[in-house]
Amino acid sequence: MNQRGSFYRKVVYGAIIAVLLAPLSLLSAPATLDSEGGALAKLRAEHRLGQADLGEIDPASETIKLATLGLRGLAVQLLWNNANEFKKKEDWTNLTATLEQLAKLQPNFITFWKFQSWNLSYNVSVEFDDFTDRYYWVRRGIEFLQQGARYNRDNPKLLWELGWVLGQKIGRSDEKVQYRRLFKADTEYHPEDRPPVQRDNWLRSKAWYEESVASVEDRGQSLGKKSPIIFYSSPTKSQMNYAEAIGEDGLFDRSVSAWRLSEEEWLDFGARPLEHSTGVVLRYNELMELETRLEEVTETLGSMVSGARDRIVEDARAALTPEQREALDTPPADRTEEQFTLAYEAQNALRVTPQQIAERIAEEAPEKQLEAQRMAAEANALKRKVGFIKAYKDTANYDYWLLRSQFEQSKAAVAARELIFRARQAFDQQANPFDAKRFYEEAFDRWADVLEEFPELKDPDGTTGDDIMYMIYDYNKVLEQLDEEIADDFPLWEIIENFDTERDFAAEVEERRRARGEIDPRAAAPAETAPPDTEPSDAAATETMPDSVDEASEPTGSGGEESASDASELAEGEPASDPAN
Amino acid sequence: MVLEKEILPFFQWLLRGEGATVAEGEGALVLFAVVLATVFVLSLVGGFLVSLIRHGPIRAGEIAYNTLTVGFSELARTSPRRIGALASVAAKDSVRRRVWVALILFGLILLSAGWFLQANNTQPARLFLSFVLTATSYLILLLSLLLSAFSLPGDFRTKTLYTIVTKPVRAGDIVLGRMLGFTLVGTALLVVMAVASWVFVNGSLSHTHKVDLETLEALRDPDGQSLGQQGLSSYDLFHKHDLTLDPDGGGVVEAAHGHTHPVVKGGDRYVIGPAEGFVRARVPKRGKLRFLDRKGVETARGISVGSEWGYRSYIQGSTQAAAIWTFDGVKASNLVDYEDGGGSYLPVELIVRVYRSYKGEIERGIQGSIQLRNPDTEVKTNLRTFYAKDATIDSFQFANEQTSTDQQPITILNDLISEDGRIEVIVQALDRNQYFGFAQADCYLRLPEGSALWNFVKGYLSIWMQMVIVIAVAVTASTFLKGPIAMLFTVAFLILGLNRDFFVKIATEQSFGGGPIESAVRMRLQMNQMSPFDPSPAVTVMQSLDDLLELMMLGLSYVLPDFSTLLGRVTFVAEGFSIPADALARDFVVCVAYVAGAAIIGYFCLRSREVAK
Repeated sequence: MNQRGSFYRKVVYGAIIAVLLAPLSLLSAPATLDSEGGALAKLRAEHRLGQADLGEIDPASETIKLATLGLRGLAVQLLWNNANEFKKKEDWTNLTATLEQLAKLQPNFITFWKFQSWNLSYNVSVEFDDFTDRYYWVRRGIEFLQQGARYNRDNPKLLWELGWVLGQKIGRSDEKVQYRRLFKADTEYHPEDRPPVQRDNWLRSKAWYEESVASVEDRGQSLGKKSPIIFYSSPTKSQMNYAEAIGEDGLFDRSVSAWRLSEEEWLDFGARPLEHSTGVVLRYNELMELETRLEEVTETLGSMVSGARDRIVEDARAALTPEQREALDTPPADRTEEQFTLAYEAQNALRVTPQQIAERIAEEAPEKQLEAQRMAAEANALKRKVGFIKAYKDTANYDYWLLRSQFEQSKAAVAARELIFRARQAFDQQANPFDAKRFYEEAFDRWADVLEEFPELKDPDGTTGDDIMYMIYDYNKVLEQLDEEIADDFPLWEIIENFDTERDFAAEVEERRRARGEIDPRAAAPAETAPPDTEPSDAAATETMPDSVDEASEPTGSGGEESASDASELAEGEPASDPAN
Repeated sequence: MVLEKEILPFFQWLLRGEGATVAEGEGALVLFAVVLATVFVLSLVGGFLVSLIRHGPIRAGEIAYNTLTVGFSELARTSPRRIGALASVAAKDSVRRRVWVALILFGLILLSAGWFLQANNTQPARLFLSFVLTATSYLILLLSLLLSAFSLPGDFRTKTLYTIVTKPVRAGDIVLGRMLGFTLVGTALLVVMAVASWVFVNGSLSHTHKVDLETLEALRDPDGQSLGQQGLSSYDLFHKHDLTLDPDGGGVVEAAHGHTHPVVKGGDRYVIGPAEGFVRARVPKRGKLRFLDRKGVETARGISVGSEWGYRSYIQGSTQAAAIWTFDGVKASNLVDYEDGGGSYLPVELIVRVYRSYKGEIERGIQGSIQLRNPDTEVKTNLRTFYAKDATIDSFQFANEQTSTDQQPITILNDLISEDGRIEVIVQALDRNQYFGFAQADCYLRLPEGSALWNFVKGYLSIWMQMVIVIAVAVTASTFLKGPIAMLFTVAFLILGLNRDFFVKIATEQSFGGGPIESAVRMRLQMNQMSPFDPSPAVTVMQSLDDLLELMMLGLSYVLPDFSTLLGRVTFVAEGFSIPADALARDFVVCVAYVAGAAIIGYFCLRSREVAK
């Protein structure tokens, strides 16, 4: 009985196992070429969670993960700790070895790749004194990120990060001249078949940005929390940086065609639909159209019942208090502080919205109410969208960069850049101040032509004025060596007046303003307080000086321009150059 | 290399430690005696109290007396022959328990090492060496732990021990026999692992290059005479070398990735030979470092540049700040003859860590100066300037014939080494507002290079000593604990030993967040480590308990072996420095002390068990 009982029990177990195999197969059969597999396999395919969907499959990585016997979390924790400790103790060899181990243990953890490649390119590289060592570590960071991008195919964040580091770290750091040179000559980084022209960090950066955009556009990856403006404008920004950089290298013809391409791409970017955080979809280059339409709608609405708008204003004016009215009638310069507030309130009260007009129409001509409401709603929507586009345009500094890529193609600008290049060569490399002076003067004549052709460039929000100002500082150094000063008929005094942030020309500028009667001649003229030559280590102190001098010499205050131009630089997301360098 | 703890000369460590005299009690011998006496008294009192409760005062006194007298007389009569026999039994038993599986595991580790070890590193030898040495350490420690912790309890369980104790053996023989047996097995495994590691490291790094003909450029002197050619080698094993080829067939391959190659002319072609100098054993003669601040006043440390790691401190450039090393016992034999026979020189090696407060000229290093000085007469050599090679070893050869700062001809041997054999090396930074950082180990006089293979063996010796300590502790623990518990006990011992510094920091209240209980409470309440508790009776109780625990931890720390220091010895091998004889001798003495202590404790524990009497 006992033996038979045991036999039956085994049979029952066998039967249960056989029955359970069926749902198990339904649930977890692997996908094959012919079938989609079980439910789990389908879910995996649907959410692209299979290892093959994520990126390259690395048997070593899988083996090591298994070899941790379920203690992967613990191992990762220990290794991260070690990595931090190695970094603290400057043990770079073991740091990179630890990162390799971590890469095998958590190959699909995106933050790991971003964080640690940044660590290598930015934090480890600066620990070295020799710029070739520094470049080595920048490149290691980039290669590490590329390794991550292989494990995580089509990940827009990693691809974008690659574009960023290749562009900004190599092309914008203090060592950019050296880094760009080393990058071009880096046979270990570039594949053999890459043509020398393509071995430019900005072009490589652009290529990765484009990959990143393609992964979102063509392969359906999510942009995540990244701002679409920054994301989609990045490839073209790299193209512009490329154009600028090769211009600085003296390759003017190529630079012009690079700027031409920049302009085309920037216009394409302007035509790209961008989703605002409120869900409104907008395009940069529909701004003008929308503004015209807004004007039309507002006008049509106002003319639906003649004089409706004027009557609203009249009513509003009648409702003003006598003090408000008096404040409004006083010229702005003569208003007291209290009147200033009152006038502001009054102006607000007198502002007529489409909604108010529509309501007035509804009262005065009820048959037009529906039409008026519809138009008011349209006007409001248009106004809102116009506001969004303007804000987004500011974020990308769209208009400036469009203008920049246009004017850089002009003959005058190219000639100006070339002459500046030759002037610098004459002074720095040939120690010939006479030729340098001549080239500079010819160049500034060309710059004057450029500014005449593109007067918007004088806008203090742009960076071109600053660029020209730095050329003028260099020119001034040449003149100092020749014991001369900038002539009164110098064509770019306007630039000096607006962009002389170093205050090297404070006295001259003041003199000119006084001559034009813009400054009260009785006002104090503390020109002597211009900052003396300071040591590099004191650069931080000098930085703050212009503002204080500004306040002292110009109590009426026009110093806002400088900070505005600073702000626009910041908006571009490009770090200011090291003041100490 | 980084040397965070100074290695004291052996006898100083043994006798007086950091203290000025033996009486200060900081010497290792004194500490050992104190620990031994404490353990002895505690065991005696403990044993007596247990007997007191079980048998009453008179019988307890008798037992304590007998244990002491019989115990020590038995210990003194321990027989090497019996120990040898028992050791061979233990070894055979281990082999039966398939210890060689560890070798297969080690082989697998080496085979898969290529997955995460790559030579695409500026110091590949360092990486490979530290990998094999660390892997061996952990594997052999784990193995010896498993072997020794389960052996005696297993014999108790299977009652095989009874067959042994019926023979005329003493408990001491059994304990020592086991220790010796497992040590023999471990040693055999370690030897195989060492050979495999040596082959693995050399094999992985072995490579050669070809001359990249496209890069070759002719070198000519001003008269147009050929001086040979310069160019690059081919790109192999993630690097290439700059090379210069002489017209007469020789050549120089510049060092890259920590090694170089010989060049020979084979027929009409230049052939680059195998890699040389990957694995090295530099022998430094170390000195004492002190600093001068920017006004020239002596200080113990330079200034901090805000680095979290306070190992190095810095001197400011273009001020009177300086780093001064004083070397003792410098002799004529420390000078090395030039290869071409033109006199001799003093080889000084220096590691400079550069900190720039502004970028300055990016493509130029920061300039510094180095001088030799006689500490007594203050005669100095002329300033010798150099561009700092950041964080790499820079070699300076000071010819014996020098010129002093007042332009008099002097020699190192006669004028710069003081009568008692001291000489000073003074290093300064020259660029304004730029900084040089130094630690004591950053400057040394280079003595003739040691054998790399012997240094590798020394690295394995320090692993061997760790293994012996673990075996001793585990065997001792297994005399009174069951197998798994003995293993846990030893693992705890090992982990605490590996983190001994941290453990001592908690015990001496130098770490943030308080003692064990306070830390647990902070974790539970998610409080940060700094914010104080509001005073309350509960807090007082918690802190008093912590004080008690800390006292116990401090006591325990005296018997914890410093495994992290022992494990740190392999860094010397990886970095290409010879393990100092002082360090090795000290480790050996520590090892012997643990074995002796553990054997005595193990003997009494085993003896107290019913079966072994």
